[in-house]
Amino acid sequence: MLVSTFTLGELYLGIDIILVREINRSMECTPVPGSQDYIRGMLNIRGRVISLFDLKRRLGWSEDEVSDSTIKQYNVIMKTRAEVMKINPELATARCPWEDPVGLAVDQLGDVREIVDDNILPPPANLRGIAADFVHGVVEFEQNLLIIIDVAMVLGLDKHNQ
Amino acid sequence: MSEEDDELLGMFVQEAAEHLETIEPDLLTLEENGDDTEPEIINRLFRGVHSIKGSAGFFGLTSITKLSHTMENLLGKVREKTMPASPAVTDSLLSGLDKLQTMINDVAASDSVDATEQIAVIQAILDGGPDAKPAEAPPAADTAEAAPDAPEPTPEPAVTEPPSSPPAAEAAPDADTASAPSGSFDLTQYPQVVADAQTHGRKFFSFLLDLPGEGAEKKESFTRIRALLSSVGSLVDTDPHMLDDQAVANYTGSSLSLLIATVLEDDLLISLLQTQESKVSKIAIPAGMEKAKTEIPAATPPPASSAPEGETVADMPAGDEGVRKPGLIKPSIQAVSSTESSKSKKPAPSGAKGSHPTVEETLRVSVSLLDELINNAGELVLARNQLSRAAVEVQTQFPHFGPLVQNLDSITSRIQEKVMQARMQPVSIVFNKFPRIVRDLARKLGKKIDLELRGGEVDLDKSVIEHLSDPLTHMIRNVADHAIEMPEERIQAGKIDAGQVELAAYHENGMVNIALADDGAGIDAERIKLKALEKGQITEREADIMSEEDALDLIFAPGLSMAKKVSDVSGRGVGMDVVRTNIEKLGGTVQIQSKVGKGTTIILKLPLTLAIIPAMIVSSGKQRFAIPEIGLVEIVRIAESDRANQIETVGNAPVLRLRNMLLPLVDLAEVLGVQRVWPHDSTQIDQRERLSDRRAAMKKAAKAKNADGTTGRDSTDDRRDPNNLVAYVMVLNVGGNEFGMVVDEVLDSEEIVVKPLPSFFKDNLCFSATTILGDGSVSLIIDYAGLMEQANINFSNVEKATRSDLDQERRAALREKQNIILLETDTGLIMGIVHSMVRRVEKISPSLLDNIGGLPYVRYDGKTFRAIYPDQVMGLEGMGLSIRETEEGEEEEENLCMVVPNIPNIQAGLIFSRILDTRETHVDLDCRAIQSEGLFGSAQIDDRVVLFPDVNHLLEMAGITDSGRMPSVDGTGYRALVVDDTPFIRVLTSNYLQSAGFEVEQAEDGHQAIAMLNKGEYDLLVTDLNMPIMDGFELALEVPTTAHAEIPIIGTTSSISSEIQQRCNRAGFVSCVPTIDKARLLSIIATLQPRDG
Repeated sequence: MLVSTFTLGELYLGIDIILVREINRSMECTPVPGSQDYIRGMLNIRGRVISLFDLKRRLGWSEDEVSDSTIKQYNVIMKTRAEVMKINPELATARCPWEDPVGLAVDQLGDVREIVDDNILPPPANLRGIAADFVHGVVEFEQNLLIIIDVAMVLGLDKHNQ
Repeated sequence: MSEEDDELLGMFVQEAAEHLETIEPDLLTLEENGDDTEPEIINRLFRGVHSIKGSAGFFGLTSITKLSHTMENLLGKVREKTMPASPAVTDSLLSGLDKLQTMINDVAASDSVDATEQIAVIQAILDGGPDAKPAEAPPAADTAEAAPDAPEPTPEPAVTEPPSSPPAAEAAPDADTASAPSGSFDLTQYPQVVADAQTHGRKFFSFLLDLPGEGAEKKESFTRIRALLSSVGSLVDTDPHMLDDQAVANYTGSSLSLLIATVLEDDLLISLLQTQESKVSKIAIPAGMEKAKTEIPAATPPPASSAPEGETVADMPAGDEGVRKPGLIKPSIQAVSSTESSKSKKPAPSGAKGSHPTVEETLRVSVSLLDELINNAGELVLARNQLSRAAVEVQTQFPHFGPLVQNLDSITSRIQEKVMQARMQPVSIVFNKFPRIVRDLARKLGKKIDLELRGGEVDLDKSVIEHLSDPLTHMIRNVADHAIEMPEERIQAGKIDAGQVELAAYHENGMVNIALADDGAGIDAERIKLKALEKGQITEREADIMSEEDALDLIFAPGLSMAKKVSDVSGRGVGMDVVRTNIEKLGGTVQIQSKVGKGTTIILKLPLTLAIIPAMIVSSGKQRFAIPEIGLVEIVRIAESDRANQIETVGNAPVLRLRNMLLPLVDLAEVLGVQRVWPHDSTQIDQRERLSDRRAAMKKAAKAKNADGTTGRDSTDDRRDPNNLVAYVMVLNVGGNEFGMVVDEVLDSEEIVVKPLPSFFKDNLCFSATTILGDGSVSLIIDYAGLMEQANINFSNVEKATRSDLDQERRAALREKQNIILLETDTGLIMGIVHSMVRRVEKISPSLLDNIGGLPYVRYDGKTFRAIYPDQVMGLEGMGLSIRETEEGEEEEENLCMVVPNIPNIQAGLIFSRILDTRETHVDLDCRAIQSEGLFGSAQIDDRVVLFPDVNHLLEMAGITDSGRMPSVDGTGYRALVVDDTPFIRVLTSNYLQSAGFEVEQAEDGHQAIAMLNKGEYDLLVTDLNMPIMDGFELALEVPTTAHAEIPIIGTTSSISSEIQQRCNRAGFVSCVPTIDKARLLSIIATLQPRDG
């Protein structure tokens, strides 16, 4: 599958490109008072209201690590379930339980990588910076470990209780 | 049928449907108003039916043609007023309309629909009609807006025959109106003329001109007509052909057919020619000719056959009978017959000016496309905004850039606005079909039902509208069938015979509510329980513990119909469950309230997904929020410096004092946990404590200021000065409870598009939805009810507080405001009289003043009034305020002003030179500064000294009160308590009692009186009936609980009536007397004396 990759601090992360709708430069967003701290707020992208998740906070990084980033971040905007459904119903049912437009804030963008499904391994126990729950699988890449994230879990949506 | 024909037929169906849509409400109006219906409505009806007939005729849809023709005839008679618009007429028309609807819904099968019954009914009415004369009304022709052009007679060889048999009629003689005249002209003979006429928007008519008399006379008539026509069109040809006046003179026939090209509508033409409509008939332009106008070069008229394009492209001729016959229009390939080009898009604007919803052309667009448009329009706005910002710099180099951006700016705004509108539809789309449904149901059921529609203009998302129709229809049927009783029953129940049903749409709290309320029988919860038990839907135990509300809710359970018998209207046990399911599918809720015998209200609360609502954009902390304007009562601005005066603490919660009401306050920032801007010392202490602390501090400050003699209000309004910050209180109403929401700033009022709240925030009570603001940023829409819940406002506390804590304030506020009439005397003194003491004020001319026996009198209104000059009576003329000499002044005055006091049986008036003003104001009565007999005291109003006379005493001083009438009362040794909220009256009443020897104490209202009664010893209680906080009646009820259970109570009131008198008797008053009627009061007291003694 094709994976859109990006970095978060030292982490090299990837998301199945079918799930990705677009990637934008980070922009101002409207915080939602009373929401989870890892939800940065809401964005307007072409008239769609997008809930933006702060991936670092979501992964439980310390406040230093979160606010440390001097770099301008990017927002990875995900497709909605309905959109994925049109392309790949199977994938939509299995891994895309979110109905609302949603985005993840990441540090740097990487390339789009072609990976062979067979090469996807379960997350090693010593993975740092990200809990195994949020990991769909890992792929070794030029001595780098590409971590494919489980977006549904990141969004707090267990696909089984949807 | 060719493809083209199919297309045309489709157009016909759509068009006919549009006509039917307007016909129905018009018929209902006609039914309602009968012969008083505006002619315009009848005309419109006529035109609608006529157009359908015309088009149907063209397509050879015989059944539709026949039915609509019959209907048209009847309407024609109604229009001519030869037939009254009786219920029978409208009934038959409505049933005809339904039939038409059926036919048009399935045009292909329309000929197999049997409409003989409807036709027969209408025909019967027509035959039995008061006027047998054929009801051929001028047909509704199409319009052409083009201005009249210069006449252009292009004589062409005339065609055959004299009138009444149009050319093609022979080919297909399917005439339904054989009597109709028609010119025997074939327009294909005049290609040039036709082409010209089309460019100028002219239409063709044949006109049968009567030519009586001899040659010269004939010539004259002809010339006259030709002259008339020259201003509005042209005379194309005659039949027989003769355009030469002389030829006419030599013509032997008694009538001549004229072919006229004109921009006029037929009815105008008829009136121009001063003829009857039967003489004029329209000739439609053949379809082929239509084409011809583009193909034929203007200069060289080719033969008509050069334009035979479509074989049957003929269109609906909205012309007259003769031409409209189906047979006529079916054209052969070569000989193109008469048709007309346009589709009667505009229903004859000439007649339909103003008023009616003209049917607009519409286009079906998929909703998803619209959504995409909306999103992109939003994006366009964003891009525009960015561009505008960038433009500021660019403009320095390219000066022309600014206007370009501005232009883009305005276009963008327009696009956005329109695109937003595209998805919204008014609920009236659904509502408007109900009057008919209700009417039909009422007829069928033998009931009378008045349906009132409100809020039809409320816009709802198209998808919501679409799903609203079925549930509402169910509900309306239910109401008509179950809820509204038969007229007799209603009258027995003391209601008016017609059931009142109201269907209303309104915004509430970010939702659109649709309420259906009736005043019918109501729903008996017990009966529902029984029924549900019967059906096994609930158990007996459940039924026992079930609340009334839950029981009412059962009517939404599947299979439970409350109709006692199944009718074809409702009662099959489907309906209300469907209503609930449908509404819930839309994300709405259904509520039902019912009182047996009183009626039922069902409220559908619909979400406004995508609804556009007006909202105030406010900021709290650094964030902006949208507050739906529905429920927003008012906005109060509070300056920091004024805060102490306005914000109190009740039960540890901040409240705003607003017009003698306490309003619980919620600080938006606090509830949401947003960092505030306003309290500059934004420490983490509980906001409520802070408020009270600050309040105490502010009070001190205010006191200090007041001590300095300055007012508490600061004149500067610099928001940057931390000591002068301003906050705003949005006063909101949630389900009848009001509370105030404190925000930092009110920024703007905007129409916002509501977008659903992302599911990640669903458990947040405070927000109902999101929206995108004008600058493209996302904002949250505040949910009042949720906010209230989150803030945990306890209204009962505040209510209590309002009643007790604030009594003091309210008293202060209420007791001293009086309506005062300010008057000026001859001598320039200003006197004030309390409004309630005045019966009336009359302007009188000094000439009405008479001197009788040394005393001044006024003749007025057939009566003689004793005139009293208050300043003279009181001996105050010499106060140094006089502007002119009294006697001269009297003569100088144009008009005087006589105040007749509100004292029964006295015909006297106080004479003033003029009224200065009326005031509702506080009065600080000073009884010492100016003392005089007959004067209560003085007060300063607008820096002027106003004297308040004791009117009663004045009259006495003037010797008017018949002292013989005054009962002698000796109150020496008795103590009386006088209760009145108005100081004057209180003092006055006290004076009366004192003059009778009573020792008097005063109380301002019931509460105070009770307290005094409990403390002191009293023998008599005289109380005003109408007082704030505790009125006289309440006081009377409380008296038995005091130490003076047996004290006699006398009521005083400014407006006495037998009803009040009775109420007083019931409440245990001895009696009730008019305020300031000393004699009545004393005489009542006199009757009490033996008891007291």
